[in-house]
Amino acid sequence: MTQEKVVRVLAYYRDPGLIERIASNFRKLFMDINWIYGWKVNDENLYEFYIGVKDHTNFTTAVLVLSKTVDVEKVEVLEVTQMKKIIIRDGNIITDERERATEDDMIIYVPVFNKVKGYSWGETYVKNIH
Amino acid sequence: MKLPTGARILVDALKREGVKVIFGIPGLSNMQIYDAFVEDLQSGELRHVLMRHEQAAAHAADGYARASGFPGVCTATSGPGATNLTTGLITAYWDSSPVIAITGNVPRAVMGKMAFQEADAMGVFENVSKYVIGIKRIDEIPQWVKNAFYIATTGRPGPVVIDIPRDIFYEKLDEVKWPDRPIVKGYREFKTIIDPLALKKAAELLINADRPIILVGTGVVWSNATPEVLELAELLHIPIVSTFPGKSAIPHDHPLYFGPMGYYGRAEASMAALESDVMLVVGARFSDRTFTSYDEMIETRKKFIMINIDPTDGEKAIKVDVGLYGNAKIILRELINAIIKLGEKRDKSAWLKRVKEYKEYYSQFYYHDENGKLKPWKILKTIRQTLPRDAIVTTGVGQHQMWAEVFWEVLEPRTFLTSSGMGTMGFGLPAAMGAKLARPDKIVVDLDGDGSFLMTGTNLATAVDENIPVIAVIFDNRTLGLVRQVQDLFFGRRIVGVDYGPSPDFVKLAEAFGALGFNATSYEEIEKSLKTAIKENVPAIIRVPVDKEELALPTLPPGGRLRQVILRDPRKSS
Repeated sequence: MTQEKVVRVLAYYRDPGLIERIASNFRKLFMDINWIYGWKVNDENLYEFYIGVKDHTNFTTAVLVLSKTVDVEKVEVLEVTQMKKIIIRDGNIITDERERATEDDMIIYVPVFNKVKGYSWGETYVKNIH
Repeated sequence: MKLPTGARILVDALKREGVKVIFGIPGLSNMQIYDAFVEDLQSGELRHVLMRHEQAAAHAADGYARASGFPGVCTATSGPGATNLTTGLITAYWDSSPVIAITGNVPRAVMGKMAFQEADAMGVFENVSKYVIGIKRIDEIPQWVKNAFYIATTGRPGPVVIDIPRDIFYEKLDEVKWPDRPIVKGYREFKTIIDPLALKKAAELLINADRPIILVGTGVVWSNATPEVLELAELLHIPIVSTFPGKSAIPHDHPLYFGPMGYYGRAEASMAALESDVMLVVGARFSDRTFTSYDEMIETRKKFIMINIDPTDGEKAIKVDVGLYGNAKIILRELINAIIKLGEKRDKSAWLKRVKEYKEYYSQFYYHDENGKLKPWKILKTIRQTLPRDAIVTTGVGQHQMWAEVFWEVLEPRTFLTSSGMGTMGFGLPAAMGAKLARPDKIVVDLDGDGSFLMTGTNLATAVDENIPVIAVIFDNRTLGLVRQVQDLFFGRRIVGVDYGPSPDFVKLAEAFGALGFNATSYEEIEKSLKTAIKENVPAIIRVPVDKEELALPTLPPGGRLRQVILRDPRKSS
């Protein structure tokens, strides 16, 4: 099974091209995205994206390039210990991992992580969560 | 009171940034800009250069930027005008050149309806430029023009596109607020980090090295760090090699410079780089044209010291032992001070002697004469001897470019402009035109190939009409020589799809455009033609016949290592 990497991207929205440029950053390196979701964080137009990416030899290059893309504030690679799948069906939250999703469900992957390595315009950092 | 339109505000914003020249072609969706700057052209505050293709407009803006250090500006209309800019912009992007492109777009009311000349400019440009700005409101124009110049010129420089729907050009604004500074969220200049410990470590490594070498790239040009590189090299007697575009950083008559290394570089430079035990990389990324095999480069277990504006550049390929990050000029000054402070020197004369021996050894392969044929090295030597020291040279892309890499002697910084990252054929002529407008006091010569020249050669008409006296020297071998060479050497001599017929006659072509045309069939005629063209001070083509069997050497087999360098014509030994 292909391993998955999870990245968190904090970026300022100016137009929807932001989402395209984040996605194309992986596409240009012939990588695949498993899932992506994001939302507006504040009134400064800061957005947060979580992206599940199939591991690939170009992964580090993709992260480095993305971390120097205009509008992108920082990219963090999450050291994920567990991916929790949550299904929202008819307003109910289903956390049973065995439950199969249908096309009317909303699925959210919640990464549980204990360490991040961050990249932001040439600066790198490591944060232990616990 | 007459309220300013969006187009007028745009022109004023450009002028406030110091723009003097705009390369472009008007059309339905950017002609409002032209209407707005009529008076500026009449007063001489702005100059517009009407190019014959938008690709050339982008190359001209790029040449202007590389020759001057100030962003070049180009404009195109919506649809095909905008998409024609694409190749020129990615060329600037790959060579870190600051270009500002202004594109008009169709009115917002018709967008999405397959309107006439509607194209998704932002979608097209977002992956071939550093940034694309879609203007949504008239009051955004002043701030985003300032931001565009800031983004284009800071960090790793690159092209920025401003796309404006033409209905915004017609809108009017009660009060224009001119920004005093750029505001771009989610963008930061790379910091210059003065790290005393890292500087000391780098200084010690260089002092104690037995076989140190300095590799310079275009970052040295953009940071104007040539004096510091030379001072450091002279201080410790360290040989200098360069990337291909880094040629433009170092005067080639300096005794410590040994030429560009890499795929088509000088063998002595590549061998010295391989053999070195400490490599100081200044303003260069580890490109696959310079280091054709990363394994080969680290086999000697050399230490790498990297001075780069972008701290993460080194992480892409090679483990950097000491990273010094920021403006190369500032960091080099600090490094020189650290070396002087340590006050130690070790004798490097044996290493220098060895590199000089490499140079002498490989010279035997480079400089051959052949009866009845003009040899590229000697053509370039003739041109070099005829031109003043500060003449600016551009190139197209192909064999002639590789000959220029090995044999053209750059004597002053910013005088050698070439499309090295993207390898864009057709760059030479329009880039020369841009360079000439940036530095009108300099003689500007485009060293080109017949295939490359004709990709944008129609812009010779612009050079004539606009009185931009550039000289194109065309190495005319009637073939796409570099592709032919690879087919010949590595595809079992299956030559296909590369040879041209007798069209065109370059002398008649020049004359048809109103330029001077010369057919120079001897070194003496090359010199005489150049002198005449310089004296007449008008655009000119000098056609120089070159044998299509001539190879660009040294070269490597496809995917080869630097040690596999091919120095002799392999066809003659088989």
